[in-house]
Amino acid sequence: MRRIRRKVNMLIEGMMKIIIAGVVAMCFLSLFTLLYDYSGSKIVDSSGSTDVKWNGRQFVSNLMEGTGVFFSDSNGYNNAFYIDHPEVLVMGDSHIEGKQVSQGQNLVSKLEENSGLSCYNIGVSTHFISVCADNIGSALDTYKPAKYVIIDTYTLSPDYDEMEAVIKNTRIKSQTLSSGSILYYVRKIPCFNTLKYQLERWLATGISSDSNKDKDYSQIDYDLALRGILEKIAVASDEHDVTPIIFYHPFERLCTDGSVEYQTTFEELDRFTQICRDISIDFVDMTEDFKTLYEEKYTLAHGFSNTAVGEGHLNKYGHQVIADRLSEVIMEDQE
Amino acid sequence: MSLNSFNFIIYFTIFLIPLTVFQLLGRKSKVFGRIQLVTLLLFSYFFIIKSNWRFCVSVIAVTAVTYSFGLLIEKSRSKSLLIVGGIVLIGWLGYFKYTDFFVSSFRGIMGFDSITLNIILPIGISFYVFSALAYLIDVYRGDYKAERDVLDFSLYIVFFPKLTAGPIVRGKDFFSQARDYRGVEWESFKIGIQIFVFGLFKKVVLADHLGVFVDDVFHAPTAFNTSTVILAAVSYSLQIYFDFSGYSDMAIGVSKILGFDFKPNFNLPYISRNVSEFWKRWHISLSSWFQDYLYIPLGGSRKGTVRTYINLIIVMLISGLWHGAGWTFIAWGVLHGAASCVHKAFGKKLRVFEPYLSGAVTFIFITLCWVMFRADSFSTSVKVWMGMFTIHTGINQPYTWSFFAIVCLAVSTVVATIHSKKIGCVDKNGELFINGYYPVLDLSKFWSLVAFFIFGGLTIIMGYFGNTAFIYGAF
Repeated sequence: MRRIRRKVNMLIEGMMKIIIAGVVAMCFLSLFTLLYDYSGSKIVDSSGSTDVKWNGRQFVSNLMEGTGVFFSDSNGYNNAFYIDHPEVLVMGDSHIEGKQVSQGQNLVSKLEENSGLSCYNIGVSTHFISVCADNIGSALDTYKPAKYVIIDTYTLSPDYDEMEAVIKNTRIKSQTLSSGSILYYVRKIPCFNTLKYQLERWLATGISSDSNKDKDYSQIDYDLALRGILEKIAVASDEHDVTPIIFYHPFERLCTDGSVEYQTTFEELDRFTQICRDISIDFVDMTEDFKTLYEEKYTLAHGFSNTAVGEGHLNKYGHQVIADRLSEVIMEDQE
Repeated sequence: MSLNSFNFIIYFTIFLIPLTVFQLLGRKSKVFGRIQLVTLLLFSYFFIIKSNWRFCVSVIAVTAVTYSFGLLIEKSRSKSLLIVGGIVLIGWLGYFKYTDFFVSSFRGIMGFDSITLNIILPIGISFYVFSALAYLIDVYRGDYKAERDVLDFSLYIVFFPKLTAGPIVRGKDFFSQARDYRGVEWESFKIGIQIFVFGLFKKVVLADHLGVFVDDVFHAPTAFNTSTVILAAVSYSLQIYFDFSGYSDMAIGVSKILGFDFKPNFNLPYISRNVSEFWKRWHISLSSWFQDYLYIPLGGSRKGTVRTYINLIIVMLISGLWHGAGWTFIAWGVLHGAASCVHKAFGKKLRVFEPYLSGAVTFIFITLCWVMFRADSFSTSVKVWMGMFTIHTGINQPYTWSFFAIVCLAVSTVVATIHSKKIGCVDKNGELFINGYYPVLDLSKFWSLVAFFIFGGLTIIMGYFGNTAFIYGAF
């Protein structure tokens, strides 16, 4: 009996040692993650300008893809400081959120430098063009930009289901964890999110995603949906007396002969351009600018020195060349 | 299912439960030991089935043929039987691995259009066929008796940690451990899991990140500037080392957890001062296989200078062909053979350059050869070599993971050097011989446990989790 008790005690002692060691290791890992990949928890944006945003003055670091270490502004977006009524409001997805470059190198900073206009960035990850179309009314109500609203898109064929949901007002907004839940606080532990994200990726290794799901809509339906979300952008802009600009930054792919290919097809480009022209949206296609960047400087607009070449998010050169082009467009417009 | 997949970790953990229960139930019982080995055999087949159930046919066929020939050879001591057994095994390997290559090469020579028969290569076939060949030769030589126990023998061929990419374990090392199987012990578990995580770090943090960059540059070598192409070639040298040695470490670690001890398969190959030393440090189980079962039977260095050179070239050519069915692999083997001949001829005269200059020249040579190994064709190899040796503009990609990998390798080499000096590790000439080792901690101590958790956590946090198979898994 005494022997069993001793063994049980030893087992409990061993388990306690493992748990405490695990907690101590988590502390060290959190210190590391704080610099390597950290952006805290996002909260619901009550204004509806975006689905979610960071807490005010949130510390954000990212060395996993590119290099970006900064604090969000007091309003929870990637800006040096909050601007009440900017001249230019920039909306968009993770490319605009710009976690991969330093704050001074992102599109909004560069645009501000080039154009001399005050610009405010409310880019949030996964806020693709349909989501921006859904949120644009609230965003313009909230920030009241004086002159322009700029939206990015990396594709000219957005997801049909998402567009339809926006048009029918049935889109479910991105969820965040409520501030009362335990997970909300657990996710504040720096290493937690990264570990979770990495474990999910590891688990998904070898599982192929069903990217070839059958279309259950016609081309006419699709064109109508695309027109629908772009009209939402045009109407909201018109109501708030600002000029809408949508810019398209296509992904690049290196070919075996050393040339660069873009995913754009003529039909997609033609359709998108035509709709924008019809409803008075300024459409900026960055393909030629990216081509020039590559041909003159052997530089791609996407990808970093710690990722695959030309893949992933916009790098500092991509941000710069887009800012240059957009300022030209704005200047021409103002003239 | 690959050793670095999350699925493997889950299945392996589940599989450990019955093994641990059997161990607790009958630590000293022979019956429970046998039950554990049966469980190991079943899991090994499950491991294959998870890849493709058809691969079991190949494993069962090789097991049956080798087992039968082993008994017959032992009984008759007939060289003819050994030759027949060898031909059957090599023929089996050859059919799966080389049919496409020979058919397309033959058709090419005859001027016909190239066709591919699309024969699927069974997982690990090069490794278990070589284990089987080694077994038959050892039995013929009388090094040990033919294994009569079907369970032990089947497990020798199919044991899952070494199945995909080795190490090629010799029968005498395996059977003795299977016979006195010690089961899953806590002490071995503590060491094994550390070696496994060490290998996982090499694979997912270093090799797989390097693979991203290497793939880009080898896909379009002309798009990059000189320094980037050079960095990519060096990165591939590191990638293949971390990938393969990472796999070996994981296999050794898993085996250790399961109660089997296998020798290390790599020993800091890039500090080698010549190509011969490189092959004593790289894929040691394959190099020693070629030495024992090919080079020495061919006459080794005992039959004169010219014959020695011919033997070296033959061994390295077959080594190249073993790695892959393609002219680039054959050329890679011949180049290594030629370099071994040069070292044999001038090695003593060149000793004045040791260790640093000869080490650097060896590394450069090996890196240039790896280019051919990695490239899908001679023309791509030439493009990469041209990219390395001509000054030209292009995309500049100072890939940070390459520098991180170089630092990791440098630090581990320095640590190994200090360790080797400390324990007085010397070669046959009495000179310092640097030996790599596993930095195994005593996990019963609190801070060791913390360090292990941190290392495991960093491996997950920094890992690259794409669809990246082991390079040697393809061979």
